[in-house]
Amino acid sequence: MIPLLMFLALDKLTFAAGYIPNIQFAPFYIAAERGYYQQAGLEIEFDYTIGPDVLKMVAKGHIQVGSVDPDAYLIATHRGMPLVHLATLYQNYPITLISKKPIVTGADLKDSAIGISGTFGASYLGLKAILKQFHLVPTDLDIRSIGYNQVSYYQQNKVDAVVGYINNEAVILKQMGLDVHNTQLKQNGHLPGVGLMSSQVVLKNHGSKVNAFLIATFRGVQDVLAEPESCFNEVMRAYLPHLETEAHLETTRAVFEATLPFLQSDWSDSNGLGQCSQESWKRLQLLMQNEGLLPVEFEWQQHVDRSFLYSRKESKNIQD
Amino acid sequence: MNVKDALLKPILQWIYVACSLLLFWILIIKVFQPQAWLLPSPGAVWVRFVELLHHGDLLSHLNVTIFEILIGYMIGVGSGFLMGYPVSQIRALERIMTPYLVAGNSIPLVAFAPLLLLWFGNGVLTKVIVTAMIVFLPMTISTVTGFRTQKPILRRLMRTLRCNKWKTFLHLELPAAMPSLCSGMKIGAPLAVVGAVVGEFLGSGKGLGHLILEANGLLDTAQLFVSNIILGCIGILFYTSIQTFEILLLGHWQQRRKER
Repeated sequence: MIPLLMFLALDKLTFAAGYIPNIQFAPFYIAAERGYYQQAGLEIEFDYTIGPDVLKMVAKGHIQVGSVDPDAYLIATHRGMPLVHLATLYQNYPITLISKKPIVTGADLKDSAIGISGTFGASYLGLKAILKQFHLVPTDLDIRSIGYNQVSYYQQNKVDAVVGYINNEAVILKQMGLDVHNTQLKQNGHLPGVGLMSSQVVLKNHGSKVNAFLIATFRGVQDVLAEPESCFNEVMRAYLPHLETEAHLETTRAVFEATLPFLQSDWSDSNGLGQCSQESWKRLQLLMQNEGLLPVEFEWQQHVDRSFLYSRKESKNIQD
Repeated sequence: MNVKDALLKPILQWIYVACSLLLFWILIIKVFQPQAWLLPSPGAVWVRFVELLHHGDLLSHLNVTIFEILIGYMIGVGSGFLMGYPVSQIRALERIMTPYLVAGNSIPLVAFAPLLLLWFGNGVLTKVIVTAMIVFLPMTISTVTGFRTQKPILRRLMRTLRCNKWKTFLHLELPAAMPSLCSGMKIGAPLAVVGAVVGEFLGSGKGLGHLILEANGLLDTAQLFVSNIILGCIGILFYTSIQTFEILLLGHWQQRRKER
């Protein structure tokens, strides 16, 4: 009877991962599987709405917490969406230019056919920043919008290079036995990566619930970092059994292993999980302002709440 | 019925409705004052339209989409007719083809289209194929219906008059099937617009579908409105053109019938 009452007392919260079910979301799955959300009084529902639609769903309050690329988040708040950035999950910017030959100079890239999901969003911003490193502009290349078909286009030699995530497309292509050379931003380690957001209304009415979600999630992050092998097996068994086939298992494992480094950095080791440095945000803002995506008067500090920090001390208290 | 009578009154009525919708839109903005990302004002949409026109390459996007619509539509109508006519004439062919036509109609193109992208790339060809496919099925069904619902007595009369297959087709079957064929063409017109945009959604650097994806990615709601309103206008214009063609053509057939 008591467990039933406990279940009824749980607060429902929907989390939008922003992509299809994937091992990249292992911290969330682990937090759910090990009952961290339940212990925090939450019943979690995973939603797999993709891309910019997550921002709209969260802003309207249909979804309480969503995963978001930091650049898309800043554009959304600049447009007036009542959102609040609560935590940074990935410590690095994961966008990479994947090519069959190493890119050493601008000449290696000039006139190449580049496949990209679309000429907007994190991928395009990342590509433009990479091109700038080589003193190139988008018109120097043949940029093709190919949707989320980077892997098939690259495999079939329909493009010379694709823009993707270093912990997803780059890993998958390498697993397929193809030549993969990654070109990333020089300041890669110093830009914020994927984060978590909620809406102002949800925070006003259910702030404690969202905070409980963050704490439980970062318990999951900590577990994944501390015991990756057992977490991987647990997640595969409970959430991704359809990927436990011979064809998918090794790739999924490789994606998982490539994701782990994104969950921590020197900064998070010193300060705690859940945020990144102010300099990272400043750098991103400047990059976006240079690209004309944000006005010069835009100030990221007004839109990013950096108060949540999952420190070792806090995690110790929770575990105690 | 001439074209002027048939179109002028409805066009005036459409304009009244459009003005009413615009007033309703302005009223919502005045009363609820929603933020621009949720519902931009007509003025903001107009400003975005002008910006896109002058700086955003709107016309080149428009040209690409219209090209895909027209070519895809013509291929869809042509192939639908070529498939529908033999099916309407040969019972065995109808028995064989019906389940496949039904199956083809049941699979949403958005589900099938990624395969086309994989096979044909992200160029104009894929968008034209998607457009042709979406037009093909209603055109096929209209063709079958049009040629099937003809009075046997008239066929017997044509045989009595020793008309050959071609003359029977030209003077009996085609005129009798024309209203149904025109219906299929009219149903296909707005579907062609949908097909081209679905194709562009798969991955494209040009076209109104690309503008919609870009607007969605940049959370530019005003641009979303601009693109959708233009698509709606293309649909209306295209449908009206086919309707005009129908009036002209059927008017011609009807006139000939009266003369006889």
